Amino acid sequence: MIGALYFEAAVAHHPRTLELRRRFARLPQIEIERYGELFNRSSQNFRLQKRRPSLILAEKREGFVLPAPEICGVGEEAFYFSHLLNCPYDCRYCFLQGMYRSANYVLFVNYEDFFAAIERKLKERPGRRLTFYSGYDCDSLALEGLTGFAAAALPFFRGQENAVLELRTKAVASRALQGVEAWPGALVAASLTPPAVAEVFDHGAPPVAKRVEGLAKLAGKGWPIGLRFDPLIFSDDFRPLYGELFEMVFAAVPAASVASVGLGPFRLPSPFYRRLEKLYPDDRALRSAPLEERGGTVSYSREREQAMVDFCVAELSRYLPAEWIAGLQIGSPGGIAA
Amino acid sequence: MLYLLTAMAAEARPLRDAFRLAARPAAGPFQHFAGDGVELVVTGIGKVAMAAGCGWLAAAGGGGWLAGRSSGPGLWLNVGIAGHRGLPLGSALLAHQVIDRATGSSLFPPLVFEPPCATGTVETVDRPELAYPADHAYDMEASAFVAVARGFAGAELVQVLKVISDGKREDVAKLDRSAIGAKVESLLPLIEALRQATLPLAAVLRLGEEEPPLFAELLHGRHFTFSDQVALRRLLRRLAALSPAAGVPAEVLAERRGRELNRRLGSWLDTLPVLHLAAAETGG
Repeated sequence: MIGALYFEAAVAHHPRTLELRRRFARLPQIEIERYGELFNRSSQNFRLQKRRPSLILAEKREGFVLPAPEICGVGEEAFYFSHLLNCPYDCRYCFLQGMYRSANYVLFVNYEDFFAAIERKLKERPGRRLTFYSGYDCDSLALEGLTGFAAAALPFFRGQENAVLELRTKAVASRALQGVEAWPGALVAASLTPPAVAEVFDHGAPPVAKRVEGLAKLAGKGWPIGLRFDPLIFSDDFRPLYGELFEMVFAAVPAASVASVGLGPFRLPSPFYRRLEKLYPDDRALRSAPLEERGGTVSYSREREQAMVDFCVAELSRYLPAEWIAGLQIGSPGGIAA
Repeated sequence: MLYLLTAMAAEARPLRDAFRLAARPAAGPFQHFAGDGVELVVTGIGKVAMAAGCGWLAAAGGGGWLAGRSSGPGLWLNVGIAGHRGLPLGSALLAHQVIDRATGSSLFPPLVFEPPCATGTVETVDRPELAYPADHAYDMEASAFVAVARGFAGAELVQVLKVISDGKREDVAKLDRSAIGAKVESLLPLIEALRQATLPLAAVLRLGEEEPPLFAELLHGRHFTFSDQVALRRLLRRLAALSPAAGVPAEVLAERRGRELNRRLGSWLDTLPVLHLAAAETGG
């Protein structure tokens, strides 16, 4: 549920703004100068705003496409872009809670400027295959019904020979991509945790079984699938929990459809984690974890991380060819929204 | 808690009556009234007076930060009259934007609940606005109220509720105390609705002010530095998360040195199982 609709004067007449204003005609609609006037101000509270976030329509003016953190992408050279800030889900480990004081959604409606910037990147690197990663500051598909971003981006990417688009999501991706034809240059990457973990951490996100079902449908239609077991959440029963998750995933999604797999042990920058602690003093899931602070990052002990990764790699090797396991992406940039 | 701030005594009168607020002994420059879960301060007219009133309430009144007797988080609500060129007299307006005309800056009270009435822009002016040039409600305090109060209460719990008292066809100079009182009185159901809508928000903020179980008990008779206290809080919250029913073992409790107690408590906590299946089953 959206509380109010704010829109920058600069995009007041943008077709997407007009469409969303029509759609949310019953909401308070407020013209603003810049989204920074009300987004992420110091006295705001992420947890309170999460109860009823507002939608802010803004214009992205710079920094359209940025180099991706090392672990994010699936290609050799990867970039990310953020057409949307924040996410409708409320995953307790998500770095967005630590990064922003505001849970309002900021939607940059000038998608075409993102596409132009992506085109420039491709022209600067002729003949090289580049991955463009969406879902760093948002979930790529969770608000597709509202943003229509994927519907606009996919035809653009289809025309870019050397570009790969990764849509990272916890949504039931098959719903968001219904009717869209698959092609090898677009990857749907699903963030997955065991159902019992998701139940206590992934507030508001679809059940894991539904997400996997959606992936299976997409795989059946020829979409390349990315599997992101990120973050890896520790518990004393992580072995059976992750073992069952892998079994569930590979029973539904043929290994041949899997384009990439990533494992990311839970990590958060210390200031983000401290903010989470303050926001959710009552959250048992967040606090039960035996976490440590190392070099400005909060994570499990190295031994626990290694034990989890070793187990997951061994389990995955039951389903994936050996060359896959050798190329497995392991690590976490300490912040991915979806 | 509900913290009400008005500029004029005439605006405060119906609030005092409705919430059965008693005058507090004069301890400062402001009229201060209190009752069951409600405090009211009459600040005087204008931005400076309102800013001072907010600061006083936070420091010495029910906000009580300096006095160490805070009544806890709650809605801070500026209630009063405003002029508008188009809205019918008596219309209620919850501010979704507050403009300070002198600086041109805007503040946006977050609407994290269903507004109980129409929302709109309130423009704060330094002198009474008689031309009503924009489709705004004109007042003389809201921008200062929002700017100052959100520093104490957080943006989401600071709201402005106005009733239209004057306009192009109704001269503000003709308003008397009883007319002002009657207009503010009409806001009472909305004030109650706002209080109810913001109770869950205040409850969330209160969680952050509560110490974990055993905290006071363990501090008693032991020396903990400030950072040791921070660490103890974290350990006790982890204990509550892992095993709410578990008591701290006697050998940990026997330790009289704060830091060493933390170390022992941490080591013991590491031996407790972390089970997400169990957490899910117990609503973790």
